[in-house]
Amino acid sequence: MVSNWNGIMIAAERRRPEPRAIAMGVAIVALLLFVAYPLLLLLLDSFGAHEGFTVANYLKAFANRQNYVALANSLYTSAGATLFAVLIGVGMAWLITRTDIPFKRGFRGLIFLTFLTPPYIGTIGWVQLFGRAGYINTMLTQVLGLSIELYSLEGIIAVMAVYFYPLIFWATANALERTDPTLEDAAASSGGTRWRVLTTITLPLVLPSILSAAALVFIHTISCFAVAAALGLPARHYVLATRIYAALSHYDVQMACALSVILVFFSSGAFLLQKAILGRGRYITTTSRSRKPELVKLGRWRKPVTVALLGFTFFTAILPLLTIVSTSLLKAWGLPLTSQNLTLGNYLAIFQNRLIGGALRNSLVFATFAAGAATLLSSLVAYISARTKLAGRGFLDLLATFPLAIPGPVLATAMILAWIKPPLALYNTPWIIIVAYIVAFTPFALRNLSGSLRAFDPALEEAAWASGASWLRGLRDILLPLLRPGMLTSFVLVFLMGLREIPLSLMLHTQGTETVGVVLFSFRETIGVETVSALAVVVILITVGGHLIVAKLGGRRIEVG
Amino acid sequence: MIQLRIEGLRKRFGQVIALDRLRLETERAELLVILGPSGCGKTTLLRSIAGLERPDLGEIYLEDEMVFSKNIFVPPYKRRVGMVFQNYALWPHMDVFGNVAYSLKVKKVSNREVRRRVGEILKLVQLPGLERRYPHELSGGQQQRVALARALVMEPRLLLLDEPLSNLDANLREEVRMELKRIQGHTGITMIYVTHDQAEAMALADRIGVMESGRLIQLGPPMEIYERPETEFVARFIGASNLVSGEVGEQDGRKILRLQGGMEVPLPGDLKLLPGPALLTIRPEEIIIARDGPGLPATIKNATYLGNAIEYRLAVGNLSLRARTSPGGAYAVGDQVFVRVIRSQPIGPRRRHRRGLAPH
Repeated sequence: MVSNWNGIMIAAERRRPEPRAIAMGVAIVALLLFVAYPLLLLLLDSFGAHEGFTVANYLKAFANRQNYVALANSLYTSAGATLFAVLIGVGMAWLITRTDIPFKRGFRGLIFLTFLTPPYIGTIGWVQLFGRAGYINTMLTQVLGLSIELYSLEGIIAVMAVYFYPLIFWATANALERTDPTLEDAAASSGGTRWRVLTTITLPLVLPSILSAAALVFIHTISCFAVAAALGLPARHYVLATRIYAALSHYDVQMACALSVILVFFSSGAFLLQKAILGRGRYITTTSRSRKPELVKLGRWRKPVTVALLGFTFFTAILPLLTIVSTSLLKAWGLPLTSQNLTLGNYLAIFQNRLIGGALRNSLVFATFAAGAATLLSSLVAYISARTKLAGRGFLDLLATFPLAIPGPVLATAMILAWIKPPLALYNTPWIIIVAYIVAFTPFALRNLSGSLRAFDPALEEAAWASGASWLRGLRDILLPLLRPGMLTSFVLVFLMGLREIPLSLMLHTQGTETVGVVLFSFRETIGVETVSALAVVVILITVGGHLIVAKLGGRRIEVG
Repeated sequence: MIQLRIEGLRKRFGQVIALDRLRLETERAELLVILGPSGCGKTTLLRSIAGLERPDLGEIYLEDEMVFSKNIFVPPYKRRVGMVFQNYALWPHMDVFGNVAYSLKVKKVSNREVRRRVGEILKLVQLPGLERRYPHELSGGQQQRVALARALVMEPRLLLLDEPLSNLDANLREEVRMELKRIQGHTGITMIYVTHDQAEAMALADRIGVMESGRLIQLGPPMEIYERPETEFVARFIGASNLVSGEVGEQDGRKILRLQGGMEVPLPGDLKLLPGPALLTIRPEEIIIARDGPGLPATIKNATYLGNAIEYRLAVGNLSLRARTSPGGAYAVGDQVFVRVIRSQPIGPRRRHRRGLAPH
């Protein structure tokens, strides 16, 4: 049997394997091997696959009070961060899309800058501001005699809320912009007050978008290893993600497996919730956008609200970056910013230090490989699910998307389990990191590519086939050129994610395969905060540059996260 | 010569039967219109002929070459069947020349020959000089012509058109319709044209095939379809006729139709109808309205001015009829009148068309 047009199997007759069948086979094998197999292994091992079925690992996990606390902390921090992200994101979306507040483009730009800042790099800045000897904390102590404890669960909540609210903001702002203003007009002309219209018409219409973005933020925050580690570990506050890391560091793989399954239980719950919300059909009524909704006049509130928003966005988007930049230019952290204290030596150190240079090179190479492979894989999966009737294509799509709900430490554990032994002993090689990146970032590439693929009528390829082009020729001449911007966007996005990735690299690297994330995370003491800051600035500059390319490509630059 | 022959074609999508033992033959240089409501399977039929859809069962022959059967599936690119898609599917990243030349380039025709043939075909669809324009720079009608040129340039054995006029406004439709006829006459190509618009079908077709839930239920020249619909579905879909059901009986040696409610309508003697239940069509222009009898008493319920005619809705007992008269002696709503039926047609298969329809 060979696969045939439209994914239907027909009896083999005088034909060699078609390119179409090969392409699909590659995607299926890759997903089964690199996603399904490690995750299945993780699940089985958590139940003691080798010694027969047992729940001993779970009993052991729950016998340790620290794990209870870590679970409670995980739920507390991600629920808290999600709640604040929703409050900030929805509030700002309403202010910017529906009121007469000034500087809208500026605010959007600053929100985008916040989004571009990798949370861990932002955390470096926040530590310099609010850490034990941080600039602001020192000032607060001198002036008011009090200080803010950043190394706390609330500190984690605050930092995560800052870096994830942009996702809520865009989801809500897009939904608000797509909502047909006549629906609100109708309610208003039926006698509803402004407040009633807002609460009974507008909010219910955009609620699915907000909820689905909130579920996504919950996944991201419960998975967010680096921030929780940087702010939690110094004060011995553990969350599940950091407990898994600790268990693996002590080579307690069974415990890591059990904790991983517990963590995935919550993250995949949110993942399924998000799928359900999105799948329930959108009841946002798209309009011809012929008319913009009337903007709410803030009146005497306009000035104070503007000032508050300016303050908030400056404080969250610019201040930590400014801090990092200034530290990167100082001979020693804490010195005043005067000309004799300034130096470019920290930047030179990046290239002179063999370790950092090697890490930068590794990250560039790994991220490039991962970006290429993830883009290719997600192109195939997107094609299969959008353009064929292959049985099980929904499952393939789910398999490619599901790693979104797998936190970094969990994925790292699964990768170790799967690739530590022959026949595919990738452990201790660069390939295990690259494979982990591919698995972790394919969901993002896929979402971007499915979107662009669905925008093109299948009749475009069919017209090529009807014109005498073979399957492959039609794809090459028609679909590939049309998809190229979408594919380049995916490539750049995955590349940037790989460049700044922390937990996977941290747990899978070995001597010689250190990455930028590893250096940023664990070499602060050895190479100094000034050089780490310089490296952070380089990462941010590359990130901003990459997104400028994406924006130039005309891709939808905001559909990430 | 038979250009296309389809035998026993079936296709299911899950629970939905898109093609149900469909049989069809076309002749060379014929314009066959497949007419049916949305979801009747007409697009699936077209896509199966093009090779873009794989039927479950049946056989398809193109010029006596078997292109589909149980074990054979000739891929679309080897079928030489041109297709014009509903939304044209012009390649947005290629200009008009690129779009039209594509099939020739795939076949590795020499550049000189490509230019010659593209120029020729653009002249045929009356678009010369637009080679370097991109699809988004063209009007809807121009895009339509490019799509047509693209499908024609490869000199296909068959040209398939999937509701090609549905995205054009009314004036343009008529123009493109004439154009299609002209091009068909000029090239002598066999066209299969799918639509749900019965007026379009009437205006274009050499023959019309009416489809209902995956079956071809009547195939014949437009006039025959209009005058003698063989099923109630065809009659309703072709529209414009009154459908009257009743019991055929005899009174004083003359045939009559007893309607529900006890009304009796005399039937023309030449109708070969057996006594029993029957369904008849009465065309609106074959009902005569008069102030006085003879005829059945009726009430004018509604009048619509159509420009060249007035259409009345009449209540005859509990029966509602549409009648059309020339605008002149107008009746007012509520007027009591008498109606006579000049002619009516019974619905039902009477004789099989020479070819194309198999008894199910």
